[in-house]
Amino acid sequence: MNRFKLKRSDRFRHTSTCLLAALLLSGCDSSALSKQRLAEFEFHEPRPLPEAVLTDQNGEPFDLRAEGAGKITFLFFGFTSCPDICPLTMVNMARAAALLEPAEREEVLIVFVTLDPPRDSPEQIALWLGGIDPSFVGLTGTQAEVNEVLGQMGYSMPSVPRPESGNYDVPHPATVFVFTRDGLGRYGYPVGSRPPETIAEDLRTLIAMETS
Amino acid sequence: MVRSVRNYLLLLPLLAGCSTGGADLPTLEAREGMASIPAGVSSMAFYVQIENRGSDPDTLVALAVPGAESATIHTMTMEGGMHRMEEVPFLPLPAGEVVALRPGGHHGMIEWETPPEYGDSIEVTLRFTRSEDLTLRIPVISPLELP
Repeated sequence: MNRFKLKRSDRFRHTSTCLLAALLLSGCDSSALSKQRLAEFEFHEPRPLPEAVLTDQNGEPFDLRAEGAGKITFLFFGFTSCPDICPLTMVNMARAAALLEPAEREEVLIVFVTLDPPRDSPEQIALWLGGIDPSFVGLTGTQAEVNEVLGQMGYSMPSVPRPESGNYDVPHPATVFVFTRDGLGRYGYPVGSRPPETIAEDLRTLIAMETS
Repeated sequence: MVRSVRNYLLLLPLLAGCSTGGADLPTLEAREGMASIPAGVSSMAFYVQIENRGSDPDTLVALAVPGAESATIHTMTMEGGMHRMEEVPFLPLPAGEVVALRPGGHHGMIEWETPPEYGDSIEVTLRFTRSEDLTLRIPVISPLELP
């Protein structure tokens, strides 16, 4: 007799136990994995939400620190004439946001700040975000203002040669800054390379996270 | 109906371009081409997979797009934690490998005076050092439609 062969009742018990264990593990695992993932992107020194009032895509003033207080804020710097990584990052966030329940979605603020104000007027940003997710906030200001906001996140804006005709590149941080409810930027998150399901899972972890 | 099926069949060789060349030339196949453009801008990203099924290497040296202002190959570099876009003059296609122009990596960049609309298709010709040109007809999509 094959000693590894289980009786029907034993098989049933064994299968049930395995299923239960898998369910428990998957429940624990997704949250634990998410926390582990976020820990990889944690800043040594968190930075507060930038103190800045910029102009949103409707032409209205937007106080970044006040609006982000009490929410999970994703802050991305980029420019609309960027054909590859900027729309990819924004679309990944849009796909992740669409996976959240409405109540979860209300807890999350997703903000784009242009580093290319000469080309990115509020109208231009509204048009661009309209094709991605109109619920996102898109901000512009003077070049000095947006550079200053970037500076508050610890980056300095290199000078950008702007030819009179043709496209030009605008350097921008490689990560999305993630702020917890207490207004602290704790993570530099590589949104562009992550599946939306993973981002949504991490958003849920951040929503559930207690911060002092 | 018959006409639309016939038109579709005529397009097939363009949708998956093949360049077989002579006995000593690499055998290239380009597939899954698409052009992604966000709303309100004049620059689009071009993505494609190029498989070199031959035993000799080749090199992608240029893109040509009728009606466009320019079409170039770009890559993303990192400097001081910042992304920068850089034009690359060529892209090696090693024998037996698939090289992808893909989101977040090497990609084509096509500039337009007046960009085509969603639902349109455009013609992109790939030029190589050794193989004959490959011409693809690819769809213009929103980044939301990227796979």
